[in-house]
Amino acid sequence: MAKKTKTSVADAVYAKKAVKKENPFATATAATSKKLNPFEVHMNKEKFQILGRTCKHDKGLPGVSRAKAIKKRKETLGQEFLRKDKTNKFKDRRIGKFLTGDELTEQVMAARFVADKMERMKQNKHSRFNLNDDEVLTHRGQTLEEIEQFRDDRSDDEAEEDDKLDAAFTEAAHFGGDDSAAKDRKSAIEEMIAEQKKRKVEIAKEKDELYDLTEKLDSNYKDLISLVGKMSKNEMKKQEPDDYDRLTRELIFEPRGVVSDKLISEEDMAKKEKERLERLENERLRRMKADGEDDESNAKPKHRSADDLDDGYFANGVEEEDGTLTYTMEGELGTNLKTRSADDESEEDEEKAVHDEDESGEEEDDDDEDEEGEEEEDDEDDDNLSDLKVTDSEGEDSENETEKPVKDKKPKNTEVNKKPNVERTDLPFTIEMPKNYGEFVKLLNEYKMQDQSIIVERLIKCNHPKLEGVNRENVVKIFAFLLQLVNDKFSDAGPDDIRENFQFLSLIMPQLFDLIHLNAERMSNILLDVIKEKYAEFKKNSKQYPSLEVLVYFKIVSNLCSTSDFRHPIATPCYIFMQHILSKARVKSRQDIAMGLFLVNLCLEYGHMSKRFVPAAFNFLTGLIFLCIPKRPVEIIKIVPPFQNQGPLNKLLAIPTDAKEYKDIGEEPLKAEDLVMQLISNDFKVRSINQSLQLIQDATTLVSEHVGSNFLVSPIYEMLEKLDVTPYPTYVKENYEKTKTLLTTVVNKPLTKLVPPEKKPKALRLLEPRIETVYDDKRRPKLSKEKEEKVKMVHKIKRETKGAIREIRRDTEFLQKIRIQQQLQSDKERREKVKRIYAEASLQQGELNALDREKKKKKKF
Amino acid sequence: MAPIETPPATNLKSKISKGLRAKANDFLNSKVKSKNLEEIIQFLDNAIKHKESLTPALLTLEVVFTQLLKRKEMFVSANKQESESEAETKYRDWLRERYEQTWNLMLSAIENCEKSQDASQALSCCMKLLAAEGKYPINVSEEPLNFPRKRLRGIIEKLLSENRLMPTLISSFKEFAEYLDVVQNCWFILSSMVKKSMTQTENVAINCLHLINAIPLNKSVQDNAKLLVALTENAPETEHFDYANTRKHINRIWNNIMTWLEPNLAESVHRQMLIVLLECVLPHLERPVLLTDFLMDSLDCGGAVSLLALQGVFTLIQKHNITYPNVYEKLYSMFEPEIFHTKYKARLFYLADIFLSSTHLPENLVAAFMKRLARLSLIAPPQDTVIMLQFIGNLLLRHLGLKRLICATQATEVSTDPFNMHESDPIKSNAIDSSLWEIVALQKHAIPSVATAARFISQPLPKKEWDLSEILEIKEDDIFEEETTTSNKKSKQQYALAFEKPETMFLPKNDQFQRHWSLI
Repeated sequence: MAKKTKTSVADAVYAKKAVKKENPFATATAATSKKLNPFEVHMNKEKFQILGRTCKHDKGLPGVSRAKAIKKRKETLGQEFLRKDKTNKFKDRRIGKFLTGDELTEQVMAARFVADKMERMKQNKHSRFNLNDDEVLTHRGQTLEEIEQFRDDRSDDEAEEDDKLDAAFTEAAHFGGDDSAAKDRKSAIEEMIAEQKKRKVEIAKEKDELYDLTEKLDSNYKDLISLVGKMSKNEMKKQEPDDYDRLTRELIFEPRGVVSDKLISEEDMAKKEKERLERLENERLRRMKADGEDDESNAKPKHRSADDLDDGYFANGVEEEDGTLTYTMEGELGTNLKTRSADDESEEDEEKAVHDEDESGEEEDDDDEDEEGEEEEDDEDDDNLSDLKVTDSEGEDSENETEKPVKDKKPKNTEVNKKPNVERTDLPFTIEMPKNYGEFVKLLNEYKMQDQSIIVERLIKCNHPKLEGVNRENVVKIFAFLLQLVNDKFSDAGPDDIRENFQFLSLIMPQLFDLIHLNAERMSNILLDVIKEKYAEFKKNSKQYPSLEVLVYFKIVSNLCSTSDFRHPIATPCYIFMQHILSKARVKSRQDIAMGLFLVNLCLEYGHMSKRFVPAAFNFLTGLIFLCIPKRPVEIIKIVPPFQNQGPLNKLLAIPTDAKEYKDIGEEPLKAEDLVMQLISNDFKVRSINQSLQLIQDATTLVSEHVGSNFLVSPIYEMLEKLDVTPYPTYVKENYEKTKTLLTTVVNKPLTKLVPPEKKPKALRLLEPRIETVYDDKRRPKLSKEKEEKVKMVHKIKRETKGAIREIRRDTEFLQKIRIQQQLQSDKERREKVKRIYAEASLQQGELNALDREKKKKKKF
Repeated sequence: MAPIETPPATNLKSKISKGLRAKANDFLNSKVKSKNLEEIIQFLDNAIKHKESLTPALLTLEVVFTQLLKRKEMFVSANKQESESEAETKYRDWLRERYEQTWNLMLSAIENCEKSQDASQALSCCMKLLAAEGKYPINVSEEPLNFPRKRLRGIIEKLLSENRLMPTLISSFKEFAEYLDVVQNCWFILSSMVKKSMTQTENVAINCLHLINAIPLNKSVQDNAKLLVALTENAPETEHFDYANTRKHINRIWNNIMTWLEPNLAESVHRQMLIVLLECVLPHLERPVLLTDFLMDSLDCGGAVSLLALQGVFTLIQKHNITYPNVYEKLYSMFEPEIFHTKYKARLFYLADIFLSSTHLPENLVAAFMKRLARLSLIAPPQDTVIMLQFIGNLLLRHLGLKRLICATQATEVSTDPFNMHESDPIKSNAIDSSLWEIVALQKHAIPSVATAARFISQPLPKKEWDLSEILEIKEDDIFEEETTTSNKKSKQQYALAFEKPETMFLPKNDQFQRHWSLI
């Protein structure tokens, strides 16, 4: 192998021919490859073959490269030499001046054309704004206009014909062999040409005639056209369509099915709804968390893999859901086991409560002197309570509806809304938008309360923003009206109409919900403005509980807004407002106590999802227990304001320990009337303590999982210990014990000392392999890097100078050659001139001599 | 300087009813209609008796008498002019009588008028007449002083009424406290009026203290040197303001006040005394060290009184080099839940911040303060919670050793908090072994600003301390305001709505109300 490479390529070229290989194609070279002339190839011998080095100089073509160099010199140095001592210069500034031959493509030419035009435009001011191009376009020397003029329709098909020879002729001329072939060739061709010409003339003539005729027909057509139309209308009588035709038509014109969304089955709908809810729930959870607040479950993955790179991926990808919300298969909100069971419990409680309510309905009425007037209403209320779960629209009248299971309530909704429409013909379907609040109230007052919500609903439907742009304002107005109406209804509600008002609120709540979803920003702003106004009112006298409508607004906010957000433009101000009331307002009467409990309840409802708490609510509950403790005059129990440990107000709810009359009071929830009445009755005392105990339970469960909740509930616990429950009915005692055990568990919850959040282990730094170049050349001394570099550079310079000198030498050589050629040329010319002159001169001399000789001859003669 | 500021004409017109105005004009235009003046005065008298609105009559009379004073129609020159007819003398005497009558009526209006607006109107009318009289005196010979001290004395006597407290009146008197001569003369008059016996009626004492509080002799008053009654060129030396003299008066007054101290002194008087002491008197006292006993006794009283006393003690410590051994214990005992409902809580935090600013305090003491603050923050209103959280943060920054309260070396579990809240001695409260769980709990506070403030313990501590002075004065409504305005700036997405449609007034899920209420 080594030997082979050593032999010159020139030899190899011949060797290839000589040695016969088994495969005849092995040596085949592509036809396009240039064959090297072996005499032109110069080989450089290689002493050693070095692996991995590509040798560029093993062979060269001295002749070719010399020619190349000479050519280059001719183009550059030669040109320069020619221009030497000359002042004028020819410069090529065309686009693509270095391009030649094939490189001059159409594009380049187009560019040149455009540039040329621009240049001309610049020179000539007139043409600059000339839109009609002066340039005359030509085709084969004729202007396009001219061609246009003489265009003849007939001439189109001529070209095809005259090139073609007819079959007979070809047969005769090409393959013929009959007797006519005997004729001599020339005459035959002449004959053929003549025939051809004749035929052409005939065809032309025929065409002219045809053309004339068509023209004539065209001109006459206009006269005829009216006749044609008439005939077709009158005389073309339609045939009686038979069954088949009819069927065909029907099939043709039958409306084709439009591509539409496929009918959504109920499962799909449920699925979609579930997805929507899940999405909303996820958003809500995101908002619930404060910026930068980590979800506890995320912050501490239970197991850390050694490969954990802290890039957000956890080795145990699936996070286990802890206290967060989940959905059951029906798409209903459920919670994990723990909270679930709590919910069940609460539901049971609720049912029990409702049940009790039913049972004790009659006796309660007997007990309450104040409420005797509304016995009938109470009955109705009891009904309402029993089917609370049924929507309001179906709640009142349609008995058949109430029997249906609650589950398929949602899809039915539209139907339900329609049905009563048929029944109540007295309700208008379209209602004009009332212009102001007065009219609105008048409009509503014309109907029964149950119908009012339907009226509102229809009003919204008639003024839906999708129908008309103006309605956008109208719905906002309706919303404002409703809020105003709520304000008016509750601000001066008495014990007689308070329930009615709450029923009204209940009825319009879905409408409010729909409304606020139509334009969340505007209506939220209205709601916020209302709350701001109420707050400004409250600020003037913060020692006093605000009137009832404020609480109702809070409840509306709770229903309409996402109160679990970490920061919400409406819910947060409401929180502040509520805590302000709870911490500042003095508790003086039944109404105040009920309102306080209402607010505490609201606080718990607001924070139910987010598990956020308001300390004022806890303070209030502590204070309420404090109010229940019968105190001896000297005894001073520490209590946080707004409650006072002195004065007559500190025993509002207290019951003497030896009292007997309280034992028989039945269990019932707080009543709407409590919110408007001042006097504290015995049953209210029992009611309020019972419900506060339950609220304490709720509040405690709310915060029980937080670190440090011990301290939050411990004041309540201490206060509870001071309460003596002997005079209370048994259910209060039970509740008391339950609350106490719950509180004990929370108060005695073990505390873990605070440690800083576990620091994430830092990933080890991976080391890149460090490769050093080792110069181990013994011939050269070891040099430092800079010196090495310098030596290299010096060497390079040397080589470059050498090369440059060589180039210069070659240049001078080339120039000398030119010069010598010029010299030789001029010498040659001169010599020829001299020769010619000599020749002429000698000729002249000859002639002269000849003349002389003749003269001499003449003289002689 | 405009000593008499008659309200602009339009303003007057709207206030003075037409009839009164016409009468006053008639009277001023011709002396013949003197009956009109009597009618106006009668009108005022009736109004006072029947408790009607006094303002029109008061303003009319003020204008009338200011005009009369300007015209010098009541002026009695030293040398009686012969040219003066008897009728004129008689008229002048009559005028002067009416003037005195009006003055007395006005004074009685100040004292007895129930409507605070009318009373303060009467007061300002009196002061304006006083100023006018100072400018155009009615007697030359009688008094060498230009300033009608007698009249001022009359006013002050009324202000120190026994019958009721006059906070609004005194606060409206405050607007004249910017005049140096008024302040000076007030002190002068008070020095002869404040007596020991004043404590017997609480109202007088409190009114007196309020009045003193309203006329502080602070630097701005002295520098501005605004005068209600411009001094004439030949005014005697005594008329000019003399600090030493006034100071003497102040000292005398305070000495008198100190004699009020007795075991059964009402708490409100005591508190007011301390306020007056701190805000007006203390800088002018000659020997403040004498106050030590008073302040020590007050420290033991508890509540706002001891807080104010603490501030006094602090001033004494700071400026007069006294030492007080148990000051931290006292301070510690002041952090009680009630503090959030007093006016002085900002003062307490301010003082506590200063007292605890030393980095040389023992760590267990500071830890006790931190734990106590943390406990209180679980009860406090949001604005105070934020203050306390940042205060705790500052304490942590000052005492880096206390980081163990938030960064224990081991996550050991304890059954109860080692900290004893009921221990009165902070050093024995064992706070150093505790941890700040309360702050972790506060991270779940419903109000976002509190929750964010509480998050500082889970983040690396900042380099610089929080500036407490910015947040000391924040109130509930400020937080409310902030929440309602900042939300407007933020994006729409913020108006997040509930997505579960309620069919009744109760929530479709997780309703908390139906369990506890029967509302419909």
